[in-house]
Amino acid sequence: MGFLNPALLFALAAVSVPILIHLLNRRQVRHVRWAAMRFLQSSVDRNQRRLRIEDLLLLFLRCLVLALLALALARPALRKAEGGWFGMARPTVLLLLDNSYSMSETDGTQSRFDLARTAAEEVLDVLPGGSPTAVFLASDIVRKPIPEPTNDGALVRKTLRDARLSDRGTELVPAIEAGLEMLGRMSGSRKELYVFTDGRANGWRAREKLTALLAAGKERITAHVVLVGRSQGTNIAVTDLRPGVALVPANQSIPFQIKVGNFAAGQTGPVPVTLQIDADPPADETTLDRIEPGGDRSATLFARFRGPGLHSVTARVSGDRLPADDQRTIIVRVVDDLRLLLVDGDPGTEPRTAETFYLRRALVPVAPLDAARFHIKPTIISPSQLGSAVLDPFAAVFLCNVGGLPDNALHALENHLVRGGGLVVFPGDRSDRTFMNERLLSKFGFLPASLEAPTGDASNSKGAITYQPSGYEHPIVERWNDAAAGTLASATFRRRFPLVPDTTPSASGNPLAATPGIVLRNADGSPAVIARTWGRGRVLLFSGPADTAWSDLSVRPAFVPLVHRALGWVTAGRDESLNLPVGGHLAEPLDPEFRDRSATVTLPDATTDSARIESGESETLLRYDRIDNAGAFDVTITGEPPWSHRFAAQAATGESDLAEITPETLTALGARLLAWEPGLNLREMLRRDRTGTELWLALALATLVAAVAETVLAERFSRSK
Amino acid sequence: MARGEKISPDLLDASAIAKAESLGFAARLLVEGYMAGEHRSPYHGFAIEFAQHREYSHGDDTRHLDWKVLGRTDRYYIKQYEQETNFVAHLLVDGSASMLYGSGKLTKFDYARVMAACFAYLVLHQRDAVSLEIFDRETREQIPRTNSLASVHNVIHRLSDFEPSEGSDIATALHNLALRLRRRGLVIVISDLMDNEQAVLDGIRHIRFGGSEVIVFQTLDPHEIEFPFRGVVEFEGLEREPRITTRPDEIRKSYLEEFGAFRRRIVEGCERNGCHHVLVNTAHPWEEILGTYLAFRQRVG
Repeated sequence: MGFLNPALLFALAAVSVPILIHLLNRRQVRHVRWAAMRFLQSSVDRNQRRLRIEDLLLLFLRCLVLALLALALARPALRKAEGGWFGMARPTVLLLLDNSYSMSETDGTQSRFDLARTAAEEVLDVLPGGSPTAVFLASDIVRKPIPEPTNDGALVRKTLRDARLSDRGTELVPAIEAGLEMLGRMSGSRKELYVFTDGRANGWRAREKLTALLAAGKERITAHVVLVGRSQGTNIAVTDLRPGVALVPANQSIPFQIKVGNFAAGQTGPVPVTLQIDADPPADETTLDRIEPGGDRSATLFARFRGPGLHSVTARVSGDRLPADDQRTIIVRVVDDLRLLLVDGDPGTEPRTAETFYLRRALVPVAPLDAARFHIKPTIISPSQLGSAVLDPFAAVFLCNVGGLPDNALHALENHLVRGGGLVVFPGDRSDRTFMNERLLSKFGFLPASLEAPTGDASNSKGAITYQPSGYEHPIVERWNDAAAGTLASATFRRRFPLVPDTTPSASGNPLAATPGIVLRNADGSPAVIARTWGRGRVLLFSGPADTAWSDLSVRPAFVPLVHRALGWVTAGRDESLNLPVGGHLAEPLDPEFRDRSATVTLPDATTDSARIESGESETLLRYDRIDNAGAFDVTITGEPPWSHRFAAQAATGESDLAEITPETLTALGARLLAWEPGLNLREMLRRDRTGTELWLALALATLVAAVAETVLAERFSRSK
Repeated sequence: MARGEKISPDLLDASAIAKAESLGFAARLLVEGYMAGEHRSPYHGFAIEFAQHREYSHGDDTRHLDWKVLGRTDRYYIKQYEQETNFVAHLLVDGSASMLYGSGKLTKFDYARVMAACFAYLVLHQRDAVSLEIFDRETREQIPRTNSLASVHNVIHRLSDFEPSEGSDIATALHNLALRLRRRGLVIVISDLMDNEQAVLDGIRHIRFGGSEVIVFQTLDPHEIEFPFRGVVEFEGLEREPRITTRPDEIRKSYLEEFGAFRRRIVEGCERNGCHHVLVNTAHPWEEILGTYLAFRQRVG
């Protein structure tokens, strides 16, 4: 029990007024000398006792009216509100809205984010006018539209109305921590934190720290969690979309693998799925059978691209109450021709003995007459030509049994990798291990592993070794987990370079070199193929040459798909930035000529934003960080020459999960919990939550009753008797 | 001054009445106002009236022999009259302290002495006799019967000089008068009758028993009749009763009931005893009271 306006309790002193009037009245007596005392005396004798009781009763009622009025004005509440002596002290308030995509769940008319905005405005209505208020938007990051509390209520309301949903996941705990930290810095005796969320359980990881923080700030900061709306209980989501091939040529039917998950507690009905290219009508569609709760189903739909370039591909399931995850868009680079540079360190005397003979056949696995029309177009040069070659048109460079390279060739390769090109290294008998280990690895850090002295006898198949027969993890080789795809383990390696992965990127001295990953192992567990991303480019190192000198891999059926998948992987580096997670960052290299131009980003909802163009000493980058929504983004730089780029953002699927945090968990955090959905009087709930149940209305009614009773009784008593 | 014309109030304020000349002048004005233009005096009822003859018997006073009858018939007849030759009006004025109450300019006693002066003037002017007695617990002032018009000044002086101060005992005054009355006459009682009403009625009956006519002018202040006080009032008794502080608003009804019952008992008692009761509200002008009463006398006379 406390008072919201304790200062007004002083008004209780007004109770003395009727008493004073009563006493003064007793002193203000008219004096009359009177003859008919006899009759007066008997009347008084009969009435005096009653009059005295009536007097006291009226006096009591008058005092009661004033006392009740004073109490009502002091606004007593059942829970103590830290109001300060002069009424509703203005608290410093942080409104923290969850704008993760699960908040897009709609009840048919309003999304839960709409409800959150409404709720936040109701909080503003309930707060004392002019309370300094900050607004944060929390998903897996914290956006701070109003980073520090402002007294400008109109700005706060406008910010709330303009707040937009993102397609990000939820991670409320860091946001709340940031909010508590901000509130902690503010002066003022009372601080209130309001979190408006749908209560998805995945947003409350790492709660333990939060509990401690809330407990520490409990004296000064009151945390409220407002759970808005109610889960609709159904959610089907497109959880994955990817092309079934490594390279996507135009005018061919390309398979796309689509995965659809059911996040509801019940089985779904048949689920129609469509595939759409750019803004065209759906290219393909299918209907998936019922999906079990928590399960998913895959479908393969086909699409054909009319021309090369960057195309958006969207998979869609029929809409449900959470529309954000009902579709998934990726950007695909459709290639007309993919030019490759094969550096042949041992051309041999005739084509068949060339180091690149098998590799070239594997890369262009069509009849020679059709090779001109095939989209992969290899060019073969000698190592000495590499230094003077322009690598820009080539998607990947294959170093086949190359002994050494001049520095200018290495710098060209470095540029090639920086720009997202691929590099595949097949070492052989001509390879200079010192050059490889000291130049390619230590100096530039290109190679993912150092080469040791070759082992085995190339002419003797005894002691030969095969690739691992199963347990493939790397995307290049994961298809061989399916026995129907054939096997990699049939090839035998008579001689090879033992590879020692470069586990210390810092040792290679190049910050662009990432930690290597094992693509394939030999049957004995030693690494056979090792990959590394380098800058935006990718490097793949085999343990032997691409011809039949040391192994029979190049004549095995698996070689063609292996080479193509390897090519797909190493050339995907430049396409890595085509598909980003929501919340990711776009950093696209630009030619220096774009340095002083401005870039415009068209967002999936057709609104536009601007991107930064940063020019450093070595490179010019187009950066865009505000990737808050899923879908296709178009980036254009107008002027001459024009430049354009597309990329797509995909939401994390974890947010599709409907599991909600239990109220007990939230209460255990030390926060006050309000569950609101339309139809409930939120303002009253908030007011009660802030101040407890107020009693002024009851007191006001009691005052009225006492006043009426006083009037009636006074009128009745004053009637002559 | 024509009948019914108002007396100038200046002549009749409290201080004026307390002066004998003014009082006398006021009384004369009032009374003559009534007599002017009258063909018949309204006071013929008080005249000496022949009743009958009876035969002389031994011991009768020879003064009353009808000598004319004796001369013509030689028979001895005594002339008998209905009333004594001189009609006496006894003015009994209550001079107790309770008569000092007055809500307006005039106290009840002021009003009473104007009335008494008027009656004295009237009666003497008619050449009848008048006697005056002002009493409280005992007789304070007394003027024996007189029929000299000149003695009206004496009456008026006594009235105007008297200042009430004591409590009242009306019954004793009535009884004393009854004992003193040797002839039947008219007893005019001017009092608020605030005493034990049964004792007062006993006194009236005592007088009536002697054959005298009694007229009671119960003189009351309008405030006593209506009790219009508001707020908190401390009442102090004029006859030294203990003080009472109360809110008159709230006991008015009760008071009016009590007072009404008292008045009813007086009126009923008067009727029972064949006594004429006139309520005198001091808010009303004297001429109205006098007019009302004299009209009544004329009717019953």
